[in-house]
Formats: sequence, structure tokens, C-alpha cells
Amino acid sequence: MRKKGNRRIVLSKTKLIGILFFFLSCQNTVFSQISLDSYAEVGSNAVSQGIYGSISAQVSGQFGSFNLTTGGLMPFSNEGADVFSAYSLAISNDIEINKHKIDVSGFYLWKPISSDLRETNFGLLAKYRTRHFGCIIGLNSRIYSFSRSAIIRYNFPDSIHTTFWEPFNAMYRFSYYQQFSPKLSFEASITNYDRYFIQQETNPMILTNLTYKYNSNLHFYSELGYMQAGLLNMHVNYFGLYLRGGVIWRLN
Amino acid sequence: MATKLKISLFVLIVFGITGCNSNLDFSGFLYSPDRVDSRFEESDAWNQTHPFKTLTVNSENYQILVSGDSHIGGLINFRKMLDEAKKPENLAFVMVGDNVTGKKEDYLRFKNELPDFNQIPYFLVVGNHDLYFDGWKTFYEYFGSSTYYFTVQTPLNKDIYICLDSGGGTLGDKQLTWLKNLLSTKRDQYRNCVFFTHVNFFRDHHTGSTNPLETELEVLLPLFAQNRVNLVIMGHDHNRAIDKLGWTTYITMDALLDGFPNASFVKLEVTKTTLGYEFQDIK
Repeated sequence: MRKKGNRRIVLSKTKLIGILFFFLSCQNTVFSQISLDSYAEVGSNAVSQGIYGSISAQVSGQFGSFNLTTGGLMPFSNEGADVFSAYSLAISNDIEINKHKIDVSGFYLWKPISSDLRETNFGLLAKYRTRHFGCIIGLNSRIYSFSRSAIIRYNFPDSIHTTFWEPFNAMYRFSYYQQFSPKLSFEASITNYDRYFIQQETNPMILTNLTYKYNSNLHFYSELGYMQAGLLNMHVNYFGLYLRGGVIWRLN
Repeated sequence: MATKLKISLFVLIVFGITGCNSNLDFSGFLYSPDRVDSRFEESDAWNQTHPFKTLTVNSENYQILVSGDSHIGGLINFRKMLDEAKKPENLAFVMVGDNVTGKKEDYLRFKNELPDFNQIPYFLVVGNHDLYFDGWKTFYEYFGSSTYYFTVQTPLNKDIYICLDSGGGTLGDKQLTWLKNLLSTKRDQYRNCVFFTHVNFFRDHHTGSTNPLETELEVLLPLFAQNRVNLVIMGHDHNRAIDKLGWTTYITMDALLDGFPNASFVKLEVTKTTLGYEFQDIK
């Protein structure tokens, strides 16, 4: 979600478009209920050094009782404009516990955070919601690692650690939903993650969403994220803000 | 009526919690009188009139002691560290934040205990507790800048030691810009590059203490890797941890706090070819 600088191209737009077309081409054979979710984001934070912009495209498909979602994030506001800065893949399924429907998902999130370093996250989430309230809780594990090309280029001796693993981090999202009309709905959440980043469990943020249902197949939405640092240090400090405008298009 | 009861209960709980630990400033959950960017501006102004210090040694070998989280009030462990620091083999000592409770009287107690700078040079980093009770004003009045560097000149080499203000859980935009500029213009001139900052970067265990946001680490880790930073020494978590990624070793120190069962400090040992560290338990 942030501006990145001096990054090599690690996964091209062509590959991303290829992934999307793969889903679309499978529409009538393997997958059903294909939908495309795309948004543009602008924001500013303590590390963006000005206003950044990025664009995301995610495609989802139903595969039996499973839902598969994949997508990527690309910045468009700086020199890394043709760089794919995050890739995500998630698979989910509904299970029923005591007649309560719970959506369980596993995910993978990969981010090239510089020309040399990669961040890989994977984890599990469980979602439950009522008419007005929702709760998602889960765990993720994070690995920072040098890329293969960096390891070769720097010729690291064996004594150098080229990966670092943070085993567990809690993920959460507590949401309030309000339906203003059949077409207009609102959601406000306290969470420590969003589509392409996962903050530590001690760094909560506020995320709001306003969705307008143009028709059953086309939804428009806007999202506002407010981030702060140091809350549990008892010395809060504003960190950043971002605004999104997006569209969800159900293809069948 | 019910609302009034709820408000009364909330007020009672808040006062109960704050009463349990008078060294905590719970107002910081909602509001901080100083922000990191404004602290950096004041530090930068201080730096304009107080040049960064260079310590000169006539040997290729030297030692620096590093401690964290002394949380003065209590002075027992701090005095033990100080006695060690004053030994002739040590060049200086560094305290990586949460040096005091933030209360003015504890700042004064701390200041009165500190030795003359010419006797043993010392360098202080600001931590979140140092900022409680509007503590930044006192820190600045007594010690000045919270973002600066110092260098050590040996007969053959130069090392740079950079102190950063992460007391608010973030370096902030202005300090980060300063840091990037410093590394791009100075890093090549120095053999070793060591950072001191308060808030630990990694979560080595489940804890309620806060780290810099992941979004910030995604910038700092590549920056440190790219600039071949040797060591980053932090406190905050009160639990010793040593994490390594590339050329950089990230050390989180035990607290020096009185009564803390694993109280320790770190002895940084520099030789012509190595940069080592050793934990020294407080007995």
C-alpha cells in the first residue's frame, strides 16, 4: 500500500494480467461466480515521503464450496510504476459450528519490500458476523528474506542469516455494519490488517467502508484508513491516512 | 441513569488502573503533547548549535557500555552500571531509553547521578516512558537532542553511532528523511555503523508492548541492509533477544530496572577487525 523506491521489477504486469485472464478463462469450466475487485488508493504516511498512489486488482472465483481470491498491488505514483509490489492468494470455505456460519480462510501474502528483501506472510483467519457486528480473528507468520539474486550478488558467507522468521502475530478485525438503504451500506472497523499489509497485533488502525450497490452485479465503494503508532506505548502518534475508491464487478 | 452508571464505572476503572501504577501516564492513549516530528525539529535545532561529538582513542580496541529501561526512580542497578562504565577500559556509555519514569523529579534524580561528560562521555536515547507526564520538555531542557550521532576515531578507523527517537512508536517523516540523508552521505566514511533506538523492531515473543508499524519496518530493514548497518541496539521489551538478518544484528536488551530478575547491560567490544557484544548480568 505504500510508495516504494529503487525496486527492481520482480513480477511483471504481464504475469498479473495472465493470472487474471486465467481466472476469467476458467469462468465457465472450473470456477463459478467470478468477480473482479479493483481499487485506486492515495495516501500519505510517515514513510511515504509525500503522497503515494497505488492500484489493486483482485479476482475471486467459486470452486465447489471453496472461494479462491488472488490479486496484486502496483504503485503508480513513483519511479516503480511498473512494479508489482504485493501479491496475495487466499482460499476460504464456510463451516458451521452450533448453527453459526463461520468463514475460515487461509492466505499467502508476498511482498518485495526492496530490490534485495522479500516479506512473506501466511496465516489463517476465521470470520463471523451478525447483522450489525462482525469479528475476524486469526494468526499470521512472517518471514523476511533476501532474494536469491541478492544472496548470489552479495556472496554471503554461511555465518550470515539470510532469513528472519516472526512465528506468530495475532490478526483481528472488529466491525460495525450499518445498512442505510438497500443500496447504501457502511462498515467501521478496528483492525491490524488490510488487503496488502499486516501490522503487529499491538498496532490497531481504523478502517471505514462505504458501499453503493448500483445493481446486483456492480458495487462501488470507498474506504478510509487511519493509522497511528505508539498506542500501547501510551504515546500515540499519527502515522498515516489513505483513501480508496473501488469497484466490485460480478461477471456472472 | 444506566449511562451515568456506565460512565461512573469507566471513570472508577480508569482511576483504579492509574492508581495501581502511578508511573504510567494513561493520557497517552488518547493524546500526546509532543509528536515525533516536532521533537525532531527541536532536536535538529539543538544539533545546529551543538556539533555532533567525536571521541578519539589511541588504540584500535575500545569498549562502550549500553543499557536500557532503567526507569529511574530506583537507582540501584543504574549505579552498578555506572560503576562499571567509569572503569578506564570503557570509552563511553549509552542508555537506549526509558531512562526515567518521565516525572520531573526522577529526571532531576537521574541528572544528578550522571557523571561529568569529560569523565565518561554518555549518550541518551529517548523512550516512551521518558515522554510521559510531558517529559519531553524536561529531557530537552536537561539533555537536548534525541536524534543525533557521535563518532569514534581510532588511529586507523572511524565508527559512527546513530541515536534515533522512537519513543512515540515511529521515527516519523522528518527523522526518516534525516536518517536517509545521513546514511547516503556519511555511511561510506565509516567502518562500523551502529544504531541505538528505544522501541524493539521484532516480536520475539507474545507481548503487549508496541513495535514500529510493519509499514515502517518495510522501509527500515531494507535501508539498514542496503547500508550494511552492523548493529541495532534497542530496549523497550525488557527481554533479551538477538535477531540477525544479513549483515545486521538486532539486539533487544534486558531492562536495567531495579528488581528486574534478569537485569543486565551490554558491553560493546570493538577491535581492529571485529565488533562484538557481551551481556553483563547485574549481580
